[in-house]
Amino acid sequence: MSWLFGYPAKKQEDSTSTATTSTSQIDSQLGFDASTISDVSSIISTPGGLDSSRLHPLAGLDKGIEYLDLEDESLNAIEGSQSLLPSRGWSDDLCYGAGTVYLAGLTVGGAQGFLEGLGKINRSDPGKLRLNTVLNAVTKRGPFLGNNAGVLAILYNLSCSTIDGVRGKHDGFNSVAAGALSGAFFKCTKGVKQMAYASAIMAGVSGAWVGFKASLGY
Amino acid sequence: MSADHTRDPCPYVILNDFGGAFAMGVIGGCVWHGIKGFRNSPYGERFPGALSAIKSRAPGIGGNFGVWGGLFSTYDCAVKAIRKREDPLNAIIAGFFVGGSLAIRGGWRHTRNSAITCACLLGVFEGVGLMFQRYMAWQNKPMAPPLPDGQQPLAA
Amino acid sequence: MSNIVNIFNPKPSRDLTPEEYADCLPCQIMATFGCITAGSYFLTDRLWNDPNISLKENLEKNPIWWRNSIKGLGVLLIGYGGYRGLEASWGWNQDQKTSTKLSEK
Repeated sequence: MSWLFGYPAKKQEDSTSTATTSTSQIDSQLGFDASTISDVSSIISTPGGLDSSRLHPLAGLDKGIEYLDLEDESLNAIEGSQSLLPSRGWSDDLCYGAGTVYLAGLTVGGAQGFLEGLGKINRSDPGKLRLNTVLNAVTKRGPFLGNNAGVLAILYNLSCSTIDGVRGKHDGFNSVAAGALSGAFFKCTKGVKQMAYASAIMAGVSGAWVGFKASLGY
Repeated sequence: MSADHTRDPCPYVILNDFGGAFAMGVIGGCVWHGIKGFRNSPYGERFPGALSAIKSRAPGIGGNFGVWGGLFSTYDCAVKAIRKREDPLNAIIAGFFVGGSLAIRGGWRHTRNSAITCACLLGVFEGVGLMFQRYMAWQNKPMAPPLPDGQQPLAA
Repeated sequence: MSNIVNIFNPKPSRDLTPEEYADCLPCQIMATFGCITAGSYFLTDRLWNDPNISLKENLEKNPIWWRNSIKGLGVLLIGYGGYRGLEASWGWNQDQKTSTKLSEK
């Protein structure tokens, strides 16, 4: 049981030393009088006999096994970055942002497709044909918008995290600048005018997002 | 088990997995279609060819990866809630259902084959992950301290 | 990337504590919505309405027993989705711990 009570020094080497010296050594290590016990069950059943705090002062085993928490679960330390969902760093921001924006894009695109499909049906079509037309329009529009919105969200989050890292703090200016950068990059093959438009639109959208978060108190 | 203080995992982790898989798909698609577009274009037009291939194909690949990741995470959460147990087996069952769901439009044979393939693939990944973990634990196992020199003999 | 990363880094096997699986409103909303959508999709005939292949090929790809089992699965999913939805709104079939949590709100 030495793994539980510690390794008393030279206990195994002094097999012929007197009982008193070895027990006094052992007593100072174990913290209780070893001569009062006769077998293991009396150790275990003694209240306070298995005091885990004596194993190591910082063991803290009475707090449950929270010592298993890894460092990567600590929240993001950059000031001002705590937001709607607690994030653990840029990869979390990226994943949640991309996922949320993709699903939002899917919904908006689906709604747009729904309206488009409603516009396409004629009076004379039977019920199933109408349903099919609408559903086809929804499944054509939704993923297209979702994919592009998701790509934009990834670019936005990457630039936002880069600017955060360079500047060391996170405020509205970062978000707007990141929005402008990602909009410009997204349309960079279409010419300067398109880039400027996309940049302005994305900067506006991220400014609105910052304003929305501020109105909620973040 | 350590409580995750930052969030309640299962509903929100689906978004996380969706976005992560989507990002991986977009970046992978950019690389793949960039190289493919580069190689399949005539000599004067290689970079524009690569760029146009990326712009047209990469978001779609991202979407496919994202759907796979999101579905996998959803089924994983569902299986975890039903079994009320966190296990490597959850991922294999979830993989079975993902493979089946994604192939269901192809008829029953395609569904069955795809489900079994996906489950086996995930089983292999889980096995590799477990072996890697055990290897790391074996590497970091505590070594006994070396005995001091000049040790007294045990017997008197 | 929690669930996907956990494939390569599996956590040790354990049973879940009741706090983790009880009283999860987003879970119930997602389950209801997902089950009802999936169930209704299975109950329509859109899975095997492919105009590009002949009827014989279609019956070989999707035989009658397969179609019936998908439709049965659709019915089960809609039923389960409705059950989860009603469970959330009326709050019955929750054990003591969760009902005390709700009453505190």
